Amino acid sequence: MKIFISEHSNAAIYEQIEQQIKDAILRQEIKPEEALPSIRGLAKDLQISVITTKRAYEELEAQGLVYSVPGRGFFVCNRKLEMLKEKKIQDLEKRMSELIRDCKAAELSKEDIVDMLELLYEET
Amino acid sequence: MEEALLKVNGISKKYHSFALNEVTFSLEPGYILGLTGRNGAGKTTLIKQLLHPETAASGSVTIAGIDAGKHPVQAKQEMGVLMEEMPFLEDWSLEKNGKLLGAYYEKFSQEAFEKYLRKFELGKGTTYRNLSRGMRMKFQLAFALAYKPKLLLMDEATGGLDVVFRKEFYYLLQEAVEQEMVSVIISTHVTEDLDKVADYVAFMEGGRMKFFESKEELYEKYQNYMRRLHGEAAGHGTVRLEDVIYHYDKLVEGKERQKDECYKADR
Repeated sequence: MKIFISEHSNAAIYEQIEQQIKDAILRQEIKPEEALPSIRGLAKDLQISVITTKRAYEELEAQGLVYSVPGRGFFVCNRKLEMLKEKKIQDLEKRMSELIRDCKAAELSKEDIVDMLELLYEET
Repeated sequence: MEEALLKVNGISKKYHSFALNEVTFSLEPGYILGLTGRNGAGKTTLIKQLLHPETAASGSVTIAGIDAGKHPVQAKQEMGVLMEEMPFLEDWSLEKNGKLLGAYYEKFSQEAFEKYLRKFELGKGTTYRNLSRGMRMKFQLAFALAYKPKLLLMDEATGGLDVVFRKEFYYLLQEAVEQEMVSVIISTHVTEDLDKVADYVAFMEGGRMKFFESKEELYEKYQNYMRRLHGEAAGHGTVRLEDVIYHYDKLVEGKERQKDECYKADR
């Protein structure tokens, strides 16, 4: 898993870490029961503070995505994965609906939208 | 919270034209404290008092359970110091400097010292005089780590060094924090460095410690302040300590003012 901190992002550093780890869990880049990088190791690699890293991990823990074992670190929870996927799909559906609404407002037909989708899908 | 490694309680010291006034704070093992403030605010005086609490007018310093005012010699075993003026011998090689000065520290290991020199890419046969400013920093870090102190004190140590060097140096420092669980106090007026690695930030003003807070808390307060000023969308993204310090009084005042306004609105 590679975490990248952008100084130009709108999100706070702990939020960037939280989001990227969440995505990595979703993509199963870190598998259930696998350990997250140690807090101090990740802080060193990203050259950020330990407390910032800890905060990101604690947010993930509060959402039930990871759990901590005192003295050993943080691990990915097993059962949450399906729920997370579902949540992601819901988010995407919501964003897609908004997009379709905007397309309709711009007087694009269904065919126009599908054409656009196909073209962009290949390019992305 | 873990047991504090360093406890500073009401330390005061009076000079002719300057006084360090009742400074109190504590630091847990494995965390980095950034000590900042303008020139003359008392940063260096505070660092000196941590090193020599026996000379303080009042107050106490406890490090790893040792009362440093009563047992200064034992307390110094637990402190590593990085600053511009150090007692190393200019005409001696790094290796000999280690052998000579390492003898003052019970836990000093020449083997560990030379291992760190290799790691930091410093030749042990090099004469101390021939080290560049950046190399001196690394040498001092190698020397300090070789006696396994629990606290590293850095006083304006990276001033005048370029960005690439500082980045590399802080990596080595954070590695020491990770591996040895050492705590660090970095005294500097360059807040960019603290923006990156500091866990806590303490701000000195006129010999007093104006605030001591975790950087996350400070950033959050600043973001909330920006939101109050400019609405929900504002205040996100990268916060700079420089701005937090500049607006600090308003971060707190703002809250009160907002309360007042609510009060007025209620009536």
